Amino acid sequence: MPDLPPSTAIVTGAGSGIGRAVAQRLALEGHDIVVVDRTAECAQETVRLLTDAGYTARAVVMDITNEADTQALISETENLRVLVNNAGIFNTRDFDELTTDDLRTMNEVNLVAMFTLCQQASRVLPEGGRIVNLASRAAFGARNCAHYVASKAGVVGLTKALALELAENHITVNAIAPGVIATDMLLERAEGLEGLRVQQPTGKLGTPEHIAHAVAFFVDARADYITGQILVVDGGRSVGGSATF
Amino acid sequence: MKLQLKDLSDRTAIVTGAGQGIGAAISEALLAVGARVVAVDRDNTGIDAMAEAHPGVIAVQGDVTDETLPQQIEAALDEIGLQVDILVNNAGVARGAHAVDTSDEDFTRFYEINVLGLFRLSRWAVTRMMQSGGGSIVNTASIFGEIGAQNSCGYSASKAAVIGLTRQMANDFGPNGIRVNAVAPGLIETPLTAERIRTEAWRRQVMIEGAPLRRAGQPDDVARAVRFLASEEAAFITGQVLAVDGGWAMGRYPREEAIHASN
Ligand SMILES: NC(=O)c1ccc[n+]([C@@H]2O[C@H](COP(=O)([O-])OP(=O)(O)OC[C@H]3O[C@@H](n4cnc5c(N)ncnc54)[C@H](O)[C@@H]3O)[C@@H](O)[C@H]2O)c1
Ligand SMILES: NC(=O)c1ccc[n+]([C@@H]2O[C@H](COP(=O)([O-])OP(=O)(O)OC[C@H]3O[C@@H](n4cnc5c(N)ncnc54)[C@H](O)[C@@H]3O)[C@@H](O)[C@H]2O)c1
Repeated sequence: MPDLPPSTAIVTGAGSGIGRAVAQRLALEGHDIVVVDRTAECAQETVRLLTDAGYTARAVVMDITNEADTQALISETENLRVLVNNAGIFNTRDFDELTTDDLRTMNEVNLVAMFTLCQQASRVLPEGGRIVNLASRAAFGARNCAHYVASKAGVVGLTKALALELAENHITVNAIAPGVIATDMLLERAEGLEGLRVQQPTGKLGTPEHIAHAVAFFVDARADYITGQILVVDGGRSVGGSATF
Repeated sequence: MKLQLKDLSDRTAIVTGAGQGIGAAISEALLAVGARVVAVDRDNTGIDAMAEAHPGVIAVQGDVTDETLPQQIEAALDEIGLQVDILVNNAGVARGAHAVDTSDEDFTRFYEINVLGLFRLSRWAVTRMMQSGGGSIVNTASIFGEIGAQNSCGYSASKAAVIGLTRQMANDFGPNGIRVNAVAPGLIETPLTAERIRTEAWRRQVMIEGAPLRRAGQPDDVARAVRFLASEEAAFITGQVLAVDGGWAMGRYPREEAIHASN
């Protein structure tokens, strides 16, 4: 591996699912990892996995909706080069039953906290800095979760706006829009994973590693001509429709 | 946990337009992670030099408009018993003209090289990939195919067709384990564009000063994206078009000053 300057990557929601895989993949690429999660045991378990494998990692247990805590996180992180905004929440509810509070709560975590972290990080990220946001394929439309869809569409817009804002500082900002990825977030869903699996064109669900690879691609120092992109990683589920003539 | 799947040893990749520019960079990027490259170009200079420099390269001189090109490639593969794992449809031509100045012949030429040539080779490759259980196709489209461009009628339309075909083939061949994606480069400095960048002030102004990252891309910028999409790391990505344009298509609104110039 070529000698990299010291680099720290903050991965929010790294206590589980996609975030944990992202933390592992970025550690492999040579970054020190700050594992941010609101659940202490989860964060510590990720740190244990990383340090057992010989990587450098520390846990910061916090809720990303707390602006003072996120500011402290950014200020206390040395050599910050990469921010992966992965922490997010998801739940389903009929549109008719959704309340404005549902929308607010969803946006508070998935969008507002991301905005704050991006802004705070942008003030210290060096040239060559990287921000990767977790949007969702659902940003382009999905049933039974209008509040989630709206929050993730916000992530898409924020990503594009910040890509332009931060281009002059040579910081790239991109997003991944995952389709159906087998994590705890989905295990909690009523139809179960099997129902989701059969809807995939290839009969396979995505894995957290699939998303981690895409994040690592954007984070690579040599991916500096790619910014403002929303990469859909969904096994082709959203491409076209199926038709039998 | 299998976290690093960049390695392409034992994979065979066909790269068209491999003789220079983006195609040459793609070939180098694939070779660097162990792939064998079947380098196809209508001009033999670049591909022959590449074959001489790398034992992993098989040069096939041929034109993508030639109906017999798939058979020529097939013969070269069969001679040493290779499968087709990756196809990179990169050969293409570009020239500017607006619709009024675009003759049927001009339009047809773009279509035949940039679209039909790509389609014919892909149709052949998917049958080979189906036999071996899957594969990956990456097409070099263009950002002009997504948003259009002044004075670029035949070219932009042909690249839009490449994007359409990418989605269509991803749809059709997903169940066969064949992924199909495209890259959409912005202005990349290659033999195709170097002279124009040097002599055309508007091109520098619109496509370089007007690009958020304020530079032209290099062939390697595109090559890395192609390699990622071709590799197992992108196993859950299909039907996608990834722009490698320094953010150009998203907004050509340069600011006077960086917002946090130093800290
Ligand atoms: N799993 C999928 O199919 C899927 C699809 C599309 C998008 N995504 C997105 O990917 C991201 C990760 O999803 P996942 O499936 O790994 O979810 P997950 O529920 O397994 O993990 C999310 C992690 O974020 C943490 N977290 C949530 N809110 C937090 C807060 N306010 N402060 C700090 N930590 C918080 C949780 O504790 C958890 O560890 C999310 O943004 C999600 O919306 C997931
Ligand atoms: N350079 C850019 O700014 C740019 C931008 C967007 C898209 N692209 C696309 O990228 C691809 C490569 O472009 P480049 O800049 O490297 O161009 P280039 O002209 O430098 O190289 C193209 C190569 O393709 C070969 N070729 C052309 N027509 C062929 C045919 N009919 N059969 C076989 N080989 C043929 C040429 O001999 C040459 O070696 C093209 O599809 C182009 O449209 C380039």
